[in-house]
Amino acid sequence: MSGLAGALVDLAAVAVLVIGVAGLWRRDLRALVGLLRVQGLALALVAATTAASEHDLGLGVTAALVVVVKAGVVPTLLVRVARRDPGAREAAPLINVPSSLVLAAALVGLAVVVGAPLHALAPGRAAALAPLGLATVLVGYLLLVTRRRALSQVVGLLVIDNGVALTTFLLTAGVPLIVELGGTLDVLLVVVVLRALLGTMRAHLGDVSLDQLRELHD
Amino acid sequence: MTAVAVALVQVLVVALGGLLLTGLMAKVRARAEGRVGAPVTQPLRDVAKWLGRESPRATAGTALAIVPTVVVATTALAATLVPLAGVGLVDATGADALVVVFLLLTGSLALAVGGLATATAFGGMGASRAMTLSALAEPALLVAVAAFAVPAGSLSLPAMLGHALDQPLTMVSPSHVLAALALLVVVVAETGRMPVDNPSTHLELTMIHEAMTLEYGGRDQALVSLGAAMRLGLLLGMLGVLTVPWGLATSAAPLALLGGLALSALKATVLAVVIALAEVHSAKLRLFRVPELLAAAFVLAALAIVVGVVAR
Amino acid sequence: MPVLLVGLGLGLAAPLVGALAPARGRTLLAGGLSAAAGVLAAVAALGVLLGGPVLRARASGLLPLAGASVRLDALSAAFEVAVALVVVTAALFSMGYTHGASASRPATALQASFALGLLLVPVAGDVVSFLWAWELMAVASLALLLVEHDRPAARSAALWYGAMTQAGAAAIMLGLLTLAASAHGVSWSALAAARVSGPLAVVAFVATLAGFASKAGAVPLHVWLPRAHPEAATPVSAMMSGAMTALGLYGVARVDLGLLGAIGRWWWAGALVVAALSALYGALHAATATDLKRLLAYSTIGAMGLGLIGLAAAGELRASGQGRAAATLVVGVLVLVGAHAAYKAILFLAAGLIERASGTRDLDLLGGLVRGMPRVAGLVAVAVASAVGVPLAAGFVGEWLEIEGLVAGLSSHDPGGVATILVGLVGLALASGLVAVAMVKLLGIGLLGRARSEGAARAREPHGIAVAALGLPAAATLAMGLVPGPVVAVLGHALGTVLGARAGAPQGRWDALHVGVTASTLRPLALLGGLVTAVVVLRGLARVGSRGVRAVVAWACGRSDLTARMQYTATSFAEPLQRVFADVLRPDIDTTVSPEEEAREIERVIAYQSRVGDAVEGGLYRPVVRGADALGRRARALANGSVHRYLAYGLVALLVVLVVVG
Repeated sequence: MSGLAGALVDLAAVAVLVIGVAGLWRRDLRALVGLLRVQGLALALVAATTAASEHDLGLGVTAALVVVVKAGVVPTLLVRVARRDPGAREAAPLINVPSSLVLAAALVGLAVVVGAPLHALAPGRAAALAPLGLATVLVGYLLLVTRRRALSQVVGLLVIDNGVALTTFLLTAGVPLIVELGGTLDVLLVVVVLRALLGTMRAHLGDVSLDQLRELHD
Repeated sequence: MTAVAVALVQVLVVALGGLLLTGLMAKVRARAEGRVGAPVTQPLRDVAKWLGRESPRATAGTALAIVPTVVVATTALAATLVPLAGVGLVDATGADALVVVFLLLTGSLALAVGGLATATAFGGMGASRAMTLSALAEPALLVAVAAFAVPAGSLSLPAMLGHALDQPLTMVSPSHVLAALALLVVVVAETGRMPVDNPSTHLELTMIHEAMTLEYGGRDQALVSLGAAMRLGLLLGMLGVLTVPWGLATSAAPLALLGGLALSALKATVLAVVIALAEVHSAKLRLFRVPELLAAAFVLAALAIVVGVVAR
Repeated sequence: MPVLLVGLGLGLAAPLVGALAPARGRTLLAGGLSAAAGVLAAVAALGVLLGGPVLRARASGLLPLAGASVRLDALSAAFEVAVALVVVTAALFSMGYTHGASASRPATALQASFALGLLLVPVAGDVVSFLWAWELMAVASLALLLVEHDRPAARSAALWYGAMTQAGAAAIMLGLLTLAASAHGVSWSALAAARVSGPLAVVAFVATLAGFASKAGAVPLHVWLPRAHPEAATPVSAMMSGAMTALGLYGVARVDLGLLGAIGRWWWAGALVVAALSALYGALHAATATDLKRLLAYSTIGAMGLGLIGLAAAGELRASGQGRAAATLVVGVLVLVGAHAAYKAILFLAAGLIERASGTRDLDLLGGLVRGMPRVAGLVAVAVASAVGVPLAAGFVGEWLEIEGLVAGLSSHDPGGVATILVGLVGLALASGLVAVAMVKLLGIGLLGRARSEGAARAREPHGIAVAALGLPAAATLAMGLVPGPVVAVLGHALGTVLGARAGAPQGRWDALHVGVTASTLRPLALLGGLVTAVVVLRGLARVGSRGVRAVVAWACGRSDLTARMQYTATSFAEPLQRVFADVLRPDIDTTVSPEEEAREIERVIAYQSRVGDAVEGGLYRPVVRGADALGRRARALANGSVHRYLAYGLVALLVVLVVVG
């Protein structure tokens, strides 16, 4: 991998992580989906750059798939959901924003410390970045745990998925196409199901704030 | 000898440039909002006008008399330390980044003390808000500076910039980009620009910096305004050279130094225009949302260092 | 050697004189002797720091078990000088300040004993002498709190202090005896030679660190400090804050860094996290406190937290092979200790003068003191400059060295190390920002502006030695800030004791201070030159174009009827911070609105009350205290007054002993 391509992979991988952290900062649901779209593109950039410098056709196809699904179809579906209540914002998160940001920084630190042995799985410069994927997963979990709106939780789930994808791209420099295809389709399925579910919930309850679902459990 | 001359020229350029940048930013905002706006040289004329007037001083006395001088003197001293022209000079004063940071901090502390010394509600309010924000900005600022320092292994500004010039690839490294972003947010907060503070308002609910300086007049006002402008010029210049050090002279040749200084001024101008345009499109944050912004800056800076361990 | 022994002898004579001398001249005599003891000890310590030989002496019959042993090496000397600075200042101060009840025989004798204990701790040469000196210091200061036992606040402070300090001393004793047992010796040199490591070293580390950190006010063992320091008499609280807390750091440097062999680096990482939290906690409470002395007490927790960050980071870095960065950090901490001793002595003693002159130490009732007490205000300004890290004052030099060391530590490829050091850097940065808020509040609200009460308006400063004594630490502050090179150069001698190696020590010349690990230089005199030039030029400009200055009434957006009540108060100044950190501080806010009688829409009085208690004390200690209390109540059933039952206990005890032994 040339110096410039390496730098590009570095930047794109860090971008995936930083966009995940930015998800903790923004409250506007539409903006969250926008962040997700950019994160998909950054993820695709990681795959595409690696594919180009390693001349790996399968990875190239995966990159194209990532663009289509993660930066195209999924965000579009979510935007449609978000459009039903325009101006919807995340209500006060369970942990306030500065604290959750600082917590995210701590999680990233933790991921880098415990993820250091991941480098041993595969040689090369890209594999050293693998802890960043782990960090993205943890940040996604934080988003999932601290948010009240169903839609922002879906975003959290997708950030986790992107983190997993980032880790695999960096570690194996090319997952078998079929594996990536399966994973991506799973996510697509989840989004479609959730979208249907949210629609039904809205029809019955008039709101999709998860705090109000507490009485439904029995 | 060259070093002293360069330092003096830098002070002049920062003073003049700071005033002009203040005017330029107001002009850009006015144009973007469809107004004509005051000429770019307006702040310069204001300061010149105020310098010739007598200074009315409220009863508080001594503290108010010292503060304007302290603000300008510390900022001027900081301006001699930042290598805006070139990194090849034998540094005569120990151009350590922390000294620059703490000199600027001294200036803002003096301003806050002055605000309290006026014994008015506005002075106290401005001081309280400014100190709160400066305390919260401190981690972001120091960690961002540390992130710039780590690749070179030195906190001396010429060494940091020299290292970045030697190895241009560090300029596109993720930690460099993140640190630059963090520093940008801190600079916006520390110079009192939107969305943290609105430099063109005198409404009590929104004032931070202006509230502390309400009681100054005449020459004192001129010095305080000059100090704020120099701070803007210096911080933008520093942000510019730290982010993109290209163009800084590596020798002590006068022409190269002049070119380096001109390029630094250009970088600062570009940053000023970008910030001014961003101001047009942003609303001022509520005071209690600003900690979120500063926390974000801190997280960017911390990520810059942590990410630097795996991607360097 | 004779200088040191004569000094300690004078220190020993001081309490005797205090106990025996007649009321007239008692404080003068005892204070003079304590001050002379401090000066001589400082002279001896400076001799060692300047490269003299290590001073050793033993008196085998003096103390039980192992005899008394005195040893003054470079590390001891560094702390001895800082302690002596505070002791001398406080002793001179009390010659002009102390009278009435606090000049009684017991109070005078105890204060002199406390001073002696402080001077003895750093020069104790073995475990036994150290523990004796430590106890002398602890018990004397505890008894000093009880001198004013008619005040409930002082009694409760003494109770907390007594419990915490004795628990701490027990932990230290446990740790040191563990070490001594496995090293088969009690002198520092024997312990250093043994290099105890393994599980026993970890036990010793945890026990001694807890004890020393409690003395240095580390969270969550700090609860005694904000109670005890404000309640003690002014010279005593200055010695407690400036010198006694620093000896907690001495213990960490001497024992945990200097004597223990290899323990896992993660122990140091844990200590670093605790230190960072405690720096933040102290600084945050200092920023929101409204009681002058309470503010100073919390800022001591913050400053000691910074010191602990430095020492813990040094331990971590040494363990991960970055000894050069560790050296910078240790020297930085030593400078910080000296700087803190100087500025905290000024601030506490000035707080005492202010309290006496105005009748209150509530910042919400002070203000405008600069007019009645100009010299005190000037001295406080110097101390504040040092505390917030204005370049050219001593505090900045320490903070600068510490940040340089931390940044050097960040330049490694080891993720764990970087993450740990980053925690330290963040804690230091935020804490120093918050301390700046506290200090600006102290200066701006307490001394500037307008007087907020009758007392503050009438306050006048006393003349004589009470104010003049503060000149000593002020001069030290400026000297260390302007010419730090020689100071740092001699403090480097202490590294051999602390880290075992001197590599990477910052180098100092008279005009410059160079840190090798970050290739950076500090030139305070050049900065001073630049600053003076700038000021002269600005003043010159002012002469040229100026039309002079006119005194006017403050404009304040057009109000002419400004009253002192319209100013910001200490409470309102800190309100934004209190709101930002509401989750940590858990303030107790009370707003009472009393409406006008006739028209309910018009609010007549709005009373706003905000009290920030100590969340750690409320959340962690109260349940323990309550539990212990309940246990005690229940245990009362054991002793119901029946003699037969007591005799039966004796029989049961005898039987148990017989069974166990047999």
